[in-house]
Parts: sequence; C-alpha cells; structure tokens
Amino acid sequence: MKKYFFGLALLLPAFLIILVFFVLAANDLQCMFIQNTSCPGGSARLIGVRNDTAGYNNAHAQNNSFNTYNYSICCNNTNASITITAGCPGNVTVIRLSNDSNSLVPTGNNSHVAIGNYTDYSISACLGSSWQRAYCNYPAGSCSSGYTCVLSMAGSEGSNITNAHVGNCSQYNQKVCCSLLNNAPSAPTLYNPNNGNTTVFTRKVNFNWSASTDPDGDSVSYTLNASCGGCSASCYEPFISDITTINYTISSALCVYPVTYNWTVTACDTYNLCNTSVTFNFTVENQANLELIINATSFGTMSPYQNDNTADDNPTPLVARSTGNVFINVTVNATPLFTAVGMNTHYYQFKADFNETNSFASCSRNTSFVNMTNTSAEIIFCNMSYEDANDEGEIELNITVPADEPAGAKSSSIEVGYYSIE
Amino acid sequence: MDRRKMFWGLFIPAFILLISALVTGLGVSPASEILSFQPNTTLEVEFSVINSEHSSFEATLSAAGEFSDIIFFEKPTITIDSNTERTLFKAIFKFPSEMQPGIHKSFIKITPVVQGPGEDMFAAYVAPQIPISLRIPYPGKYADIRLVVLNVDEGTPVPMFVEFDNMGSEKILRAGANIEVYSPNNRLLASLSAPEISVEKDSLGKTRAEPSPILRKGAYVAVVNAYYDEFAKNFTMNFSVGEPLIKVRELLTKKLGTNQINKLTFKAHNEWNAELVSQGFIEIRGIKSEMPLFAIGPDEEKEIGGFLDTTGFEPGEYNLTLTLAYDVVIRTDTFHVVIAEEIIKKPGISALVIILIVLIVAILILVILIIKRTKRAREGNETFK
Repeated sequence: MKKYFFGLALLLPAFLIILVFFVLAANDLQCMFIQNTSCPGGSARLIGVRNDTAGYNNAHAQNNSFNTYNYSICCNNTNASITITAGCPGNVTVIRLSNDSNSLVPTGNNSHVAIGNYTDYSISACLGSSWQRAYCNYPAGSCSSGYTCVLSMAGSEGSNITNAHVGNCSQYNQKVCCSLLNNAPSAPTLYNPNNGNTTVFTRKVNFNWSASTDPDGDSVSYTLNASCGGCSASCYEPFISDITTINYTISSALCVYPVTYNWTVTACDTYNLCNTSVTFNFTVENQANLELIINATSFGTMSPYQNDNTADDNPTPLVARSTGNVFINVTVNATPLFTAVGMNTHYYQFKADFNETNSFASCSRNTSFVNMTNTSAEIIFCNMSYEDANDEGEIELNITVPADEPAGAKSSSIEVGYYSIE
Repeated sequence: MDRRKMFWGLFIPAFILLISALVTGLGVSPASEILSFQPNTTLEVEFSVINSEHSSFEATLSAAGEFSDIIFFEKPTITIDSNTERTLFKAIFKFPSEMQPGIHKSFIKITPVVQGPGEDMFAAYVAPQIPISLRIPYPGKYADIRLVVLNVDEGTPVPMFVEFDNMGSEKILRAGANIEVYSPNNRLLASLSAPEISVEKDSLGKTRAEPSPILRKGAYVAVVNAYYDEFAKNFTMNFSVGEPLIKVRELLTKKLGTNQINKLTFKAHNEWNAELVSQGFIEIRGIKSEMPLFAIGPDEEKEIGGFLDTTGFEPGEYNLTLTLAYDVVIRTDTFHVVIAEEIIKKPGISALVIILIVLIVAILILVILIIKRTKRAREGNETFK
C-alpha cells in the first residue's frame, strides 16, 4: 500500500508539472536567433543581425527587406495553427531601426536599434499574430510573467534604449519582451426587446444593444442569437453573425405567443475573443385584428331582373384590412337582402378580390362569385396576410333583383368574421 | 347666412360623421390559445378585445365547438368604451374529471351588437373568433408525429425535422425516424435518418433528419417511418420546395381594337415539377374578363388565350393586368398594350391556304379536262385513219 502512495506522490507532481508546462507553453510566442538569412517555414523574420565577426551579439540590425545578414531573429508560436507575422503597419512595433549611416534615405540596413516607442528612428520592425494582439515592453533585467524575450540591446553612450546594438537575451540587461495578449470586448447590454416583454407586436423584430468596448481597440462584431427551445422546427430562430452595427432587424417573422424567445448578443474582436450578454426573453404578441376600411355600399335603384356587381368598383366593394400580426381566415355571412327569394341563391353573391396584391391565398372558392348564406360563415379570404403592403382585400358583391321582388328599400347586414390560423 | 353655405356647413360635418361611423375595426389578443387538460379543475384565461377604431359599443361573448359546454364567461356581454384601447374579459374553463384524449377545438366568438345596415343597402361589421385548442393526454405512451420541411432557396440543403408531440401520460425515452423523399413520378431521391431523442410529457421534441437533400423547386412526397419506444408510425406527406410558378413569358397580343371582343394570347411556362391547373383573369382599368381554366404540364411552355371586350375604350395606351390563380398562388403580371381603332382583320394564313387549295384543285380539274379532250381527239383521228 505504501508503495502505491509513494508512486502516487511521485507521479502527481510530475503530472502537474507536465500539465503546467503544457498550459503555459500552449499558444506562446517564441523567438530565436537563427544562423540564416531567412527563417524556417512557420516562423516570421523580425530582423537580420550581424556583428563585425559575423556573429549575432553586439550586432547591427538589418530591416526585413534586406536578407544579407547571416543571422535572423525568427519568431513563431508553440501552437502551429497560430501564425506569427512580421511587417508593418498592422502589427505591433517591437523595435525601431536607425537609418543607414551611409545612406541619405531611410533603409534600415546596418542599423542601430531603439525601443518601439522611440520615434526618432523611423523604421519599425513589427510582429503580430493571427490569434491575439502582440504587446511589447522593455524592462531592464528580465521579462515579466507571460512575456517572452525577443532580444536584448545595449548602447555605448549612456542609454541602452536607443542607438543600441543587438544581442541574444542573455547578452545585455536591457530586454525587449513581447507577448501575445488580447482582451475580449465588453459584453453588450441588451436593450430591445427588453427582458420579459410579452407585448412585442412586430414579428420582424428590431433587436438593439449597447456598443461593446474593446480594451485593445480592436474592431468588434456581434452575433445575434434568438432561440425558442421546445418550439416547432417551423419557428424561425435567428442566428446572425458578423453584425457591425448595434441593432439588427430580422428579415423573417418570429413565431407568436405562446412561443417565448431567449436572445443574446455576443461581441467578438478580430481575434475571435468574445463576451456574451446576459439572456433576455420576450414573446411576440399573438394579435388578430381586422378593420373594414369601407364597410358600407349601396347599388342605388334597380329593376327586376337587373344585375349589378362591385367588380368594376362601381358601386364600391367593401374593403377589409388585416392589422394584426398573424395570418387569418376571413368569413362572411349576411342577413337576407330580398324577400321574394331565399339566401344561398344566385340573387345575392360575393367573391374576393385584391385591394393590395397577394393579400390572401387562393385556397378557397373565393375568386368567382358564390352564393351568400345566412346560416354558415363562408371563407372569403384564406391565409390573409398582415404585412403592410399586402393586407387589404375587397369583398365584391353581386346582386340580381328577383322578378317578383316587391318594391322598397332593401338592406343586408354582412358579418365579417375572422380567426387566426397560427 | 348664405343658404348654400349653410347647406355645405351642415353637409360636411354630417358626411364626416357618416364616414367615421362606417369604419369598423376590432382585434383580439391572444388570437388563439392552447390549454392543457387538468381534471376537475377550473382555469381562468384572460383575453383582450382591441378597440382599434376607438368607438363605443357592446359585444356579446359566446363559445362554440367541441368543448363549448365547459366554457363560461364572467359576463356574457362586454362594454367597449371609445377611450379604452383594450378591454379585458375572462373565459372560465371548468374541466370535468375526464375527457376523450386528443386535441379538441372550440372557439370564443365576440359579436358586436349591431343596429342593422341603416341608410346603406349593405353594411358590414367584424366579429372575431378566438380558436382554443385543448390537449387531453392519452393513457400511456402516445405521440403525434409531424414532418416539418423548412423552405429554403433552391440549391441549398432542405432542412427536414421530425417532431414528436408527446400527447401521452408518460415520458418518451427514444424517438427517431427514417425518411425517404420521392419525386412526383415516384423516383426515390433521398434517404434520411433522424437521430433518437427523448421527449418529456406534454412537450414537443424535434430531431433533424440528415443528410439534408438538395431539391429543385417543386412538389415532393416524403415517406416517414417513425418510432417512439415500442411504437411505430408510418405516414406519407406531400411537401413542396418553393412556390408553384407559372411564368408569363410574353404577351403575344400587344394591339387590341376598340369596341370589339379581342382575342389575347400569351406564352406561359410552368416552372413547377407537377401539372398546374390555373384560372385566369384579364383586366384593363377595372374591366375584367375570366379566361377558361387551363392545365399546363411540368416544365411545359404553352400559348394560352383569353378574350377581352373593349367596348367603350378610347384608343390609346393601357396597362393590361393578367392574373393567374393556381394552387395557393395568385400572381399578377402587368403588360403594356395599345388599343387602336377597330382592327379589320386581313385574310389570315388559313384563308390564303384555302384560296391556294381551291386554285390548285381548279388547275387540276382544268388539266384533267385538257388531257381528256386531247385523248378523245386522238381517238377520233385513229378512227378516221
């Protein structure tokens, strides 16, 4: 038993050390001096270096655009899927290079170096990454935790941070340290629809939220996600990414009550480091509404056998507009118009017509005149739309005066019923 | 005061009043409701009547349908005030100890109390209905199974889901399905499988069938072999990708004669994968004529004809609308036409052909007669020899 404990006591720290090594090593920047004019595949060349004896300590630097110095500082990442890139602009300035003393134009060859924020030197040597933002600092002594030493530098005229020669990290006290660091943008604050809102009317909801701030100044894009869990698969669940504004109006209709939606917005920076808002829920109200924008009409004086209808808009047909937010079926029935004949005859008929295009579907016998009844409600508009541009239909009437209809004023009340089909 | 001014002074407000009295609008929210059966309980559900036109009236409440006998109202009549946007009313559902399992339908009707059509020959009012679905569980395990096919752009994979609505009194532990998709001519196009899921009591579970097929716009048949726990359910469902479309490619008749019945011809193409039967209407400035019903095969192009009476139309340029109604689609296209003075038809090709045939026959008869006469003359000569 003791043996097992002893074995465990040895294995556990070893395991922890390996784990810590892997955790720390993963995705770290590493830079090395390589004896070559270029860098091996998978690494980026920061600068070339060479001293008077063709070594790499106490060396002058050469801008990346030259490749005559036989040493290169090459950087890569412990995670091969992360690409390290050199070059400016777009990346972080690691060091700056002086002009070639023999040249009138800035070339960055045979140069002394300065730290990255020393602007007297105009040529920059830069590093960046496909994963996170690169940061560099310049401590004397050693690099702080999380930072990797890229090179060391020393000057001969009192300052080590400018007009300096380059050496490997163990050569000089003044270090150039870099790290891949990134901070996620702040989580957006959700505004509309507000949490618990059960009276959202429009089904093509406009979502809006606060702008996220990115501590690194990276540009931020948003992903909108609204889901309805145990709802039918036919319910639209928006998942929209790459939104660059702080509001978004969806182009398809959401499902209405009793379906409840949960929504979040995730803000991500260019390195795909993200922060998600809290979750809000809302319900789109389930409202059916029908307005008769023309609810009365008269045919004037007519004689026996005479026929007239509203199909030519003279007299005017009745017009209905659906102002709710669900598809509806609309029905009609009416009180008798004539006394000489009963209802459900060709003397009193109705049919549907568009007042706005495609305001209803042709799923019922409603495009030709059919007999009006006073007993059962007949569908006139099937699947009537609630969309503003397509929500009006005409109720056309067709009457023929029966031969033996007594003279006098005739009237009929038409009940326009409707119900949600969602 | 000037009498004429007084007339208009009275007429205009009266006219405005009349107009406003004619507009009727009434809404309901929620517009539908789904309830779960709880034996021997009473459930109160609140609904709003939306007075979108802000008028004052009374409305009666009533229930109809399969379980109308258990629907009661706090008050049978509600008073809607012009200043109130929403008027609430309560429906009370008194559930008995047991009911037949399944989904039962009823509706609540709100009928405004109307005084009759008044001065007008026809006057209409709105009377909304609220459909109510009551879910009563089956004993043991039971699921209603549906296939949901989402509508996507042609050329992209069509998501297909199998939904299990657990209408039983127990949880469903395993539910899955296999699907076969066929063309209208019964050719197997795709085989899909929906991974297993579990579904809680009185809940809906959905599982996406994979791989999603890529289908052309058109009508299809899906054969679903679904199962849940120890039960199997097979069904067939028709579905479509996109909407049926008869495209009017060209109006061939671009010039019409005034004061006559004109024949119009247009070229139509059926872009759907099944035959479509369509009604059609031709209209210029409200003058409409119905075309005979026509059928057009899948991917077929056809010339379709109709007639339009242009009596009373002045010569000029007009917009002609052509409306086709087929399946669930009503589609209108507009074309530019010219109505000119009465068109006197020149002899058509058919007349020319007839004239030509008559001429050929006459020439033939003439030739035969000449040959006969020549032959007879020769025979005469031979006799005299």
